[in-house]
Amino acid sequence: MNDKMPVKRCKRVIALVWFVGAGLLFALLAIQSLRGYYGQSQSQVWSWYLGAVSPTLGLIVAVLAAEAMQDEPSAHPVDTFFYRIAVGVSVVYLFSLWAIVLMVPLRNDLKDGLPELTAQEGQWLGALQGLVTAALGVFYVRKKEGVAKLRKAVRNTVKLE
Amino acid sequence: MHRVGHQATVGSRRIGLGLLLGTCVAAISFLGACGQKELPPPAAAPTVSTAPAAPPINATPPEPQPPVSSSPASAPAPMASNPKMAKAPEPKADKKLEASHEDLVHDSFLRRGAAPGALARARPTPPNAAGAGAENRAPAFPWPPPQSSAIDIIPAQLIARAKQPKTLGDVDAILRKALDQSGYVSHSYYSVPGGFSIATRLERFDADGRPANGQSRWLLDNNSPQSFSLSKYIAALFSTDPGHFRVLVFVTTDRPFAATAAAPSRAQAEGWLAGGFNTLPRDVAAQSMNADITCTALVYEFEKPPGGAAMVKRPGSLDADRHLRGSGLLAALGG
Repeated sequence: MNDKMPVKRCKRVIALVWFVGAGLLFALLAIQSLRGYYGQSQSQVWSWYLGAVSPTLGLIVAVLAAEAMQDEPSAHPVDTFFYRIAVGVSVVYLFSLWAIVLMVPLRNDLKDGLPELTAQEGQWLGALQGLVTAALGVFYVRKKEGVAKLRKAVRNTVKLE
Repeated sequence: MHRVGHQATVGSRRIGLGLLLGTCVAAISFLGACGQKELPPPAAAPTVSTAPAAPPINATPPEPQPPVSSSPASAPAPMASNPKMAKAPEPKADKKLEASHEDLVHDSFLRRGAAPGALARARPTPPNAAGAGAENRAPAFPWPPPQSSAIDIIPAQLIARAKQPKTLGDVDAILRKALDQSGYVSHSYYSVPGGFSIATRLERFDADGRPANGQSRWLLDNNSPQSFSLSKYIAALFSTDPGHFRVLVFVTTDRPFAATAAAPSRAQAEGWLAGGFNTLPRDVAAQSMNADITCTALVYEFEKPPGGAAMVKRPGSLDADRHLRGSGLLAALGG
């Protein structure tokens, strides 16, 4: 039984899961917004979406960008179990976001649409988001050197701009 | 040493697996709860008018009275509840509304010193108004009125078409008859400076100003498909057809006014039905008419996008005349 797998591959799979899940949801919300589905509640909807995905996506992108600028990408192995945990929690979280958006047409009792539903489900979704962030944070920024690399990458990005 | 490390690894894996399973179960239970659609409330109650009759119209107009006065002991004190709603078979969704009415009735009744158990017996006949005093005054409507989507003065000849009204009670009787004929069986009375106002129940209307058909007239939620099919669901997910709702407020007063206060939210407008009296207090009804009294219709129109919150629409999609014609009120008044 192989308990380790390359960290590079793990990060890419997790990034793929997040980009597909959050990206398609972004597309759905964008289409709905352009069609006026949310009316004047549009800014509330986008605030909710960005608050739900941007911290994690930001972390993923920052780490990927940091690695892309390295001459020797890290190749240390990662415990497969934690990798699966990270992917699993991410999938459940993204699925929950999708479910909330897709439930709106089915909920007869919503007077304020999606903003009302997100307010109702905000507590457990926030807890789940914390779990996701912890799982991915441990996975992505596992070592002190990883944090240092991340900081260095951010500094380089700022210099480039 | 190696074995201890292995056991720790296995333990941590079990804990992690438990967390993951717990998360999945929570998500599935949420989806199950969300999937339970609430039953839409049935149509509004049939038009059975059980409201107290209008005050008798005296052959000679009574002396003008101040808008606020203590009623005589025999005068029926109005209840903050609409007996029509209590009598008619109400839909499930109106239980909360009915409950709030009952609370108001209950509180009002207890303030008069009655025993709680006497409430049910006393409901058809208003309790003795001894000591009612200020309780006989209907709750005040926001003044100046909130900004409306449309406004129009109902022509005086329509109000006086059948018989020249001599008191505000006569005007109320004419308006109430027209409201009942148009299906507005639930409405509330408020006091305004120099007169009174009547607020109708929030209703859904069509693009031409007519009330929505059947049950959907009083359905205040989304245009959710009644029976699920994938095509209907996808259409609803991208629907751009907003729901249109309105509340009509008829202000009868001799004071000129401008609707300049902040526009109401849908919740506020929806609450007007529950917040007012079921009938016009007798002392207000006894006020004699004068040449300055006008009846003004304020239309509060709300637009609810499929996925967002309802907002008041200013200016409205229709003018007040089309709202009144569409609702059938002008026809009921003889216009």
